[in-house]
This record gives sequence, C-alpha cells and structure tokens, in this order.
Amino acid sequence: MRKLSLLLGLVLTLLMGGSLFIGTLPLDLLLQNASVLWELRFPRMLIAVSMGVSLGLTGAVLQGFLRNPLAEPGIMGISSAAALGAVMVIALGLGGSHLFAVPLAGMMGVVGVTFFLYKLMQKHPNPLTLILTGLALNSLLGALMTLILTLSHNPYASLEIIFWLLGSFAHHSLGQVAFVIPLSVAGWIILWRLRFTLETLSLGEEMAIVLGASPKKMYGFLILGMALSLGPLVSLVGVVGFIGLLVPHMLRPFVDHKPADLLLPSALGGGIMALAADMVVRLLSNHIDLKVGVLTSLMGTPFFLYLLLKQPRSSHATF
Amino acid sequence: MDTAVQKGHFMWARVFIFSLFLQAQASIISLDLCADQWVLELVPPRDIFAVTYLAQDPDISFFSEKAIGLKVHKGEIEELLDPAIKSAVAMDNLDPFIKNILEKRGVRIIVLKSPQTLEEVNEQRQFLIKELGLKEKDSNPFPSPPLSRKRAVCYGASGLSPGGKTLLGQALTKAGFENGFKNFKGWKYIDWEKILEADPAVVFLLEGPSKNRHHPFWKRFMKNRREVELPKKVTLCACYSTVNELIETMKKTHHA
Amino acid sequence: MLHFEHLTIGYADRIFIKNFTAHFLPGQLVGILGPNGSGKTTLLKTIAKLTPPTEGRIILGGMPLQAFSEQNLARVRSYIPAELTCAWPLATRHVLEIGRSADHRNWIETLDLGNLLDQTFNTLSSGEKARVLLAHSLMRSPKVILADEITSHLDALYQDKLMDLLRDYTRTGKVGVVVLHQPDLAYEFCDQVFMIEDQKLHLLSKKPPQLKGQILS
Repeated sequence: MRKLSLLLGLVLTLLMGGSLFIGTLPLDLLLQNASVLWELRFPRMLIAVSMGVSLGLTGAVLQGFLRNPLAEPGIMGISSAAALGAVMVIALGLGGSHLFAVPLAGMMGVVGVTFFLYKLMQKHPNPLTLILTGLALNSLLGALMTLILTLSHNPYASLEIIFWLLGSFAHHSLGQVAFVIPLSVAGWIILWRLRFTLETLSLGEEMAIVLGASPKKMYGFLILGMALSLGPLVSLVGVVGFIGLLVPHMLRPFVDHKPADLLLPSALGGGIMALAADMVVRLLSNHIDLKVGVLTSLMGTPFFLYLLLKQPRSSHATF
Repeated sequence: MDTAVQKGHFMWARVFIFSLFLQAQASIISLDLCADQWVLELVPPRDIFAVTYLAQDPDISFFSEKAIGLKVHKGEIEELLDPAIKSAVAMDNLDPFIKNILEKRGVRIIVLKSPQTLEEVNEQRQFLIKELGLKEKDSNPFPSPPLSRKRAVCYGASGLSPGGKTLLGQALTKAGFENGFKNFKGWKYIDWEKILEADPAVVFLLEGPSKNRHHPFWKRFMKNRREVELPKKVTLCACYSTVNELIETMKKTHHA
Repeated sequence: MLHFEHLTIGYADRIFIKNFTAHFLPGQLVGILGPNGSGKTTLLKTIAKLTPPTEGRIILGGMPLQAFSEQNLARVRSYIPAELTCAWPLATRHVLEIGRSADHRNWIETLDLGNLLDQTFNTLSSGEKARVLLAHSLMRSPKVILADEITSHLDALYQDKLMDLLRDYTRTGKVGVVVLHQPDLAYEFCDQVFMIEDQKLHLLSKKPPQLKGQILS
C-alpha cells in the first residue's frame, strides 16, 4: 500500500505541475499574460484534483461501508441535492448575481439533505435504509430538477443548466477554490478516520459492533464526511461521473482488497484520473469539444466492464 | 382604464368576430417559438389561427406586441384539432407524432430549417412566402457596410460560442466588425484562454448576466473592452427582422 | 463476573427464555444446549449486546451491559458467530489483523493456521474458518468469550482441541459461553451446562468452579 500510494502520489504531483503548462494559449501570449497561469490554470488544477480526490475517497469509503463494489458517491443523494440547489438558482436567473450564488445555493441543498439523512440514520442505522433513502432522494431531486427545466421559460437558462450539470473545472476563481477546498479537506479527514470501522465492517455489521464500532456514530460520520467532501465541490463544479465507482474498483486488488488500505490510493488515483481527464479535454479542445464528465464516463465504462469480466468469480465478494 | 388592456379586449373581440364570420381566413398556425417569429413577420394577423404562448413573452419573442391579441396554444394535441386549421408552420424539430396527426387531418405542414447563415435566412423567407402564397416582399435585405478594424466576438456564458460560418458570426461582419472567432466554423466551446487569444474590443454576451463577470480574471480582461448583452429575442430565433435588429444592435456599439 | 438479572430474551412476538437469573464466576466455561430455534444464538447475541434483552439486565464485571460503549465493550468481550463470510476476498492473514488485536502470541501456531494464512478466507472450509475465528477472538484476550457452534464443522480431533483450548483460556480468569450441538462435548469440557427448553434455562450439570493454580470454594 505504501509503495502504491507513493507511486500514485508521484504521478499526481507530476501531473499537477504539468497541467499548468497545458492550455490553448500560445507561449508568447502566455508570457505577456502571466496571470493566466495563476488565475485560470492554477485554480483549475486545484479544483480538478480535489474533485478527483473527493470522488476517489468517497467511492472507496462508500463501497467499503456498504460492502458493495457497485456503490457510487452519488447514491446517497448528496450530489443531487447540490445540483438541485445550483439548478434552481440558475433557472431563477440569479446565477450571475454573484460569484458564490450557485455554489452557496448548492450547499443549502446539501445541508438540507444531510440533516435529513443524519436524523434518519440515527434512528435506523443500517445499510438498507441508507441505500433506499438515497434512491428515493435521488429520484425526488431528479424529478424536481426536471420540473425546473420544464418550467423554465428561458431557453438559455436551460442550456446553462444542462452545461452546468455536465460539470466543468474551468473558470473557477481562486476565491471560490479557497472557499471550497478547506471544507472538502475537513470531509476527507472525517472519512479518513473511518478506516478502522471499514476494516471491521468487512466481517459484517454485527462483527463491526463486536469489534467496537458504534452504528450511530459510524453512520453519522459517514454522512457528515460525504457531505463535506462532495457537497461544496459538486455545488461549484457540477456532477462528474464514474471516477468514484471506477477508481476504487481498479485499485482494490493492489491493496489485497483491504478496505481501509484502499482509501489513500483511491483518493490519489481519483485525483490523477480527474486531472488527467481535464488535461485531455484541454489538449483536444482545438479539435473536439469535450466535457470532463463525458470523457471520464467514455473512458471509464469500457475499462470497468473489462475489469468486471476479467475478474475471477470469487472476488465478487458476497453478491 | 389602461389602454393596453382596452386594446387587448378590442383585439380579442376582433379575433372572436373573425372566428365567427371569417373562419376560413384564420387558418395558419405556428407550432413553436421560431415558427411564430416567421409567421408573425410575414402573415397578416387576420390569417393567423394561433401562435404559441411563448410568442407573447417580450423577453424571448421579437414580435410579442404583434402576438398579443392573437389566439395562443401550448402545443397540446387537442388544441391543434380545430378544423379551421389548414396550414401549420414548424421548425425542423417538429414532433413526428404531432406531424402525423396533423397530416392525417389534411393540414398542410410547412417545415422550416433553422437558418445557420444569412443566406439561409433569405432562403427560408422566400420558401415560406412561396408556400403560403404571400405577396413578395423586398429581398436582399442585408446590405454589407464598410469593414471596420474593430474586432468583436459573440460569447455564450456557458462557453458555447459562434465561430465563422454562423449567423451570429456573419451578423458581426455585417455590423462592421472583424469576427474574433472566424478561425473556427460553427459553434464551439470556448475557454478564456481562447478569448484572450482572440483579443476582441467588444464582447457580445449571448446568455444574460453571467457569474463570469465577477471573476477577477474576467474583470481585468474586460477593463479596456466593451461588454454588450444581446437581447434573447434577437438571438434565439432567426427571421429577417430579428437578424436585422441583431445587426442594428451590434452596429450601435460602434457609436456608443 | 457475568450476571443475568431476571433476564427475558427474544423478540416482541417470540420469547425464547423467560425471567432467568444466573451468575458466572471467572474461570468458568458455560455450555448451552437446546433444540433448533430454542434461542441459543439469541442468548449469545444478547450477552454480546448485539440484541437488547426484552426484560431484565446483564451485568458484566459490576457494570450493566447497557452502560458500556461499543468501544469499551469490544475490549472485554468477543463473539464468534456460527457462520461468517468476509465481504471482500481477503487473505486469512488480513482477516486476523482486523480489529487491531493486541496479542498475536502463538494462537496461529496453536491452532495450526500457518498454512491457511495466505489463502482467501472465504474459500476456507467451515471448520477452518472456525479455527481462524477462534484465533481472531483469542488474540484480543477478551474477559468474556462467546462462541456460537464453533465445533459443529470440526472433526473429532479438533473438536477436543478447541474445547480444551477454550477451557484452558477461561481458567485464566475469563468466562466463556459456548453454544454446542454435541452434549458429550458439553459435559466433558464445560463447568456448567444449560439446556433451553420451554422458555426456561435448565441447569444440567455443574462442576465446582476452578481457576488455574488455585481452587475456589
């Protein structure tokens, strides 16, 4: 695990440096406008990496927590809540009123859903409740989003909503980044502290309790950590798919399937994948218009299917 | 009492009388916002059976004033079954289900292409005039002005922006600007490094106020440039009058 | 050390054992027998604080069980379920590491697990799993060890060995409660043998309490 993390960390660091030199601006113009590096490429790099880390980490935590390799950070409804808040503000035409209008609205949605999930899971701390509630929340929030789209009289607002939903790391200011990243880091720390619980959970919820995990506490921390890791970032960036499902799945064999040891490599791997995808988007932007979420899904899905089919049956755990 | 309301009542009464006595005349319906624009531009009101409710929204409909007083519909099938309807005008994304039903009822359907260039605007205009048997109106409507050195771009806040071979790009040229995005054709997703490279003196914004303008980079970039918001009613749909208005709007920024 | 006070266990619609009181001293290994569905497993789970009792209470080392936090309780009691599947294809070595065991000692040797360490836990036979889980339990040196049918899938040799081990372990001042299917094993190794029948806990046999190196009256 240590070697793997070191390697992934090294790759990520190299990519972070390299990404500053990727863009469409010719070098002579770049030298005249050095602020492009600091005001455009640097925050873009930071936001891509932290989104990737959040997705990789939350994916690994959630899969370990629910003991289900199909779990994906979106299943709890937190991302949908962020999206709904943001979409509502865009549809009302307030998206341009302030730099923080959209992300703050998204975070209001996240706070609401988190509070609801937290209250519910303190009453019924079990995975089925979490999955079913997430399913219900996702379809409710999805319906509300569709409603907003259909009610919106402004075709440009609808276009903006659709583009926003596709997710993009571009054009976020340093101020926004400085606001969002500390919140995410707080979420990462909370999730990181769930390592022991994840380890014990691999023997089932009952054994986890026997070994000292408290159901109420672990669901509380899970929801809080997920909300902080995902909520602010999704509110700013939009929904970027598939990294949270793919990366933990890909790296699990390298840590001998140990759910706690998966967290760090998965977080780093998520950062690499998000940043690499964004760099590809930028490199190709003169030839083809791609959105980073589209690219991750396009690249990820066939690879994921390949891994799934290649795997020996025994490693499909208990499903 | 408010005169607009009185006028509205009067218009409604007129439509009502027409529908009683001159039913055969009000026989043309338009099925979406852009078809509304064409019909409202070319067809006399007494021949219009109905337009969509969107046509009365002054934000997005160039001919909203003309549409007030006309019968409106919401595109529900049952609204379209009136036997008075003889012709329907729609853009090429018409729902095949609706198309099928109308055709079965013997309604003539005139499908217009969304024009992507000025030439296509003229083509569609001539096409509709011919199809509806209207009187020929003045053609060659877009005279080219002298070219200025000023560079301008149209920029969509969601990033999607028009390049060389687009209606908006051509409108820029007609308005006397050099199109900063002329080196790519069609619509393209633009990030700010590309705008910086294009270095326009004027940026025409397509999509209302955007959060971008609070971004420190954008603020600095726009310091010595002009930012002009184009009204939606002239960028959403293209018929002769909207394009003309679009060009006029762009021209005005030369003087201001 | 382990004390049942007017304990009733089961669920609202299904009571297994009604109103029983018992007391177990350090050094005792307790065997529970009973037909299928009589509530043996539920009894163990109630002692493990995985299921709340319907009535009454359990006192562990002078403190009511309900007052223990999960974390504190984990330090003093362990529980071995009758069946266990790992959610991930973990190697046996890694399963043994789960839960930060303090004491690795020589349980791996004692229970002959050396050649199983690198195999995937889920591919082990039920008997092998039982040995692994017992080792996992003992490594945490619990004061109360609860085991559900760990001998059922073992051959005769290992049955004796495991029971012997459990008895020796409890002799060091711990309490063991084991659910068994084989009465002969219970009579041979356990200090007290109970039978669940008609919602009652019948005491079948009782040996004098013993601690290693000393005899208590």
